[in-house]
Amino acid sequence: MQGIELTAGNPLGPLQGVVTLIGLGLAMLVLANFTRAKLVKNTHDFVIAGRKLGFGFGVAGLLSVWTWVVGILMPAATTFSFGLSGLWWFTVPNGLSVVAVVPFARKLKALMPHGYTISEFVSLRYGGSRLATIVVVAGILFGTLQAVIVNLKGASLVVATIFGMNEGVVAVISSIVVLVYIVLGGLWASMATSTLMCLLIMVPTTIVVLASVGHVGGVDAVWQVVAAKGEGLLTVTRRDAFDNFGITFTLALITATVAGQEFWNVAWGLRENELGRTFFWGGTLYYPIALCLGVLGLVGIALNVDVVKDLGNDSAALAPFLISHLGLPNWVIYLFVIIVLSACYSTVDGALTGVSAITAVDVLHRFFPHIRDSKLFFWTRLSMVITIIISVAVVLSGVDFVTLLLVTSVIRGAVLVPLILSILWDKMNALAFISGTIGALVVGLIARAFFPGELISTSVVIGVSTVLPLIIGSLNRDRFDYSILAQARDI
Amino acid sequence: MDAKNVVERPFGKWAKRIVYFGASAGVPIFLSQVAQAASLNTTAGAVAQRGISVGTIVAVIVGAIISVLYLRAMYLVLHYASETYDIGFDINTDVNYDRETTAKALIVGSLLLVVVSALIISSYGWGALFLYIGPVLCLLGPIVVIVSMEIDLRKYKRALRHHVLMQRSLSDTPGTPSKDDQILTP
Repeated sequence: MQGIELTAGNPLGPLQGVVTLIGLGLAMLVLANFTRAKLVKNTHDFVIAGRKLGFGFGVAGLLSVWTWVVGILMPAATTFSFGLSGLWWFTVPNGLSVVAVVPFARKLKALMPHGYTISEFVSLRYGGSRLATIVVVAGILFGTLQAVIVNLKGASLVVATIFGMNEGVVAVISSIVVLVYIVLGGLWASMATSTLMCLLIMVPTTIVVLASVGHVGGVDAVWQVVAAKGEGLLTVTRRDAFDNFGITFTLALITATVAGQEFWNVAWGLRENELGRTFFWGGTLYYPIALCLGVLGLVGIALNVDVVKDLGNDSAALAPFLISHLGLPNWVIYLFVIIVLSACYSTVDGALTGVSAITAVDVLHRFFPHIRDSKLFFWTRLSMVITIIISVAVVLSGVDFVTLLLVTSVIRGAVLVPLILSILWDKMNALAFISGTIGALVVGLIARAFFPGELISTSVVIGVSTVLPLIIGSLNRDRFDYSILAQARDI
Repeated sequence: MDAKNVVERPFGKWAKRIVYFGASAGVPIFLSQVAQAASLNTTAGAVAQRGISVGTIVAVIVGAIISVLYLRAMYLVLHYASETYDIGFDINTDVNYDRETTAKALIVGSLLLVVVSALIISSYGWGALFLYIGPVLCLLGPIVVIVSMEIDLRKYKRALRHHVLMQRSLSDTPGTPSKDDQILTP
């Protein structure tokens, strides 16, 4: 690796940054408008794409919605930190988490073909229990805020560094861009633009990684240097990688998908018989992205990047650091920015469609069943605007939102097992559900306050949310008649 | 006219096919030239030339071809989804669909996913050339989506043909007012 110096290139310029942000947004706007004109004629189309999503858009859309900015930065980061073991423990559970939705989604879609949201399901399942519905809605909304905030923050950081812009400005422009096109076309717009962004993630990722590797002397040069370091960097059996990612990370991923309304939006939005293979391929296609980006982690190792001095003690900064310090051509840097923005935009718009579904179905249609379609449409779109405003305010405020993220993880973790039991077990009742979720939430927050790390609090949350419902449900003499779920009707 | 010819294909004209093929070939060549020129014009141009490896150029060309095919498929899906908006998919579009077989395939597929991904990651440690596996798979990944969209297009066209034939048989029924045939083009 002789002759390779890592020096900060001049930022590309704020004007170029604004042009890139808005340019990508304009492309999405054109596509969203085209889609809206062709396919969005009422609120039902807006919220659930008229239940006409096909295999192709489903696969690409799911992949994009699942690929957060974190999903772009972390494969390189985990490989850099733990070698191939880190890449393995980060990558394998990721794709499987999307596939894990399939058995529950297929069963629920068969029982409740006209459903929209998991909170709607919980409400019907437990005879309209408000507390049960509130817990699930809270989990969904917190999860949405988490997705929007984390992605806006991540993209802002990367783009601001590369273009020498203010982070807040990037966050505001990005959020306005997404809002404008998603408010136009709802789930159809989300899936169409996410389909395009799937292409903008996969092809540029390959080009950026190959350009980076070529620039430092090729795969042979990188591999020889990493192999010479030893330390188990080129094995998949390092214990510390498992300790850092292992079970808790896997559970967090599964929680994000099974308890994530954006995935249920797609599940209910897909045409008949498309669900299984769509989710399978949507999850599978993340693997090549991670496998490709992991090579950047090996480049970082080979170049002796210092995590403290060069990355500010945050290994997630490795990919942006390499791209901006290797002396790569500007067009490669632009491609990297497009990858990051595509991951951000697609996840944010997917999260916003989840909010729109909750608003339309669980709030407006529930409390105002005779509301006119035009008003329903208006308030549904307004909920997306409110979500973005809150998220941007959190990002701009500089408030440490780690607490928000931790609370969200606990809430979603508390909902996961009771939700699964609600779908699969007919003896599960409202008392079991509420006790399991709220009990796990309370105990989980206490555990997090007193014990450092994720392992204990995650174990407590999963444990309580499993044991309590099983005990209470076992004592239940009644069995739920799942045919009641077929009562759900299109709005 | 048999069932296959009921729906005219939007790209059925030879002129369109030639233009489309020319764009697929010409665009990536043009872009690679522009990219090469742009990299030479940067302040880091001399150093950057080292970064433009053969692998990168191949990826740009292949990626551009895949992108053209991908965008074409996207446009056609949106077009046909719009054309079939009011048509129910009542015909059995999945004559071979079997829930149990699909469930088993999913389980097997998931297991294979874990095994294959583990193998690929492990292979990174076997030798330098294996590091290309991830980038190659990532570059070719959009082909899965293109194939998925082609499967959708076949269903849309089948539904459209069925609809048009139904309309014809209704208009051929005695006493029913005749309707003009609708040949669907973009």
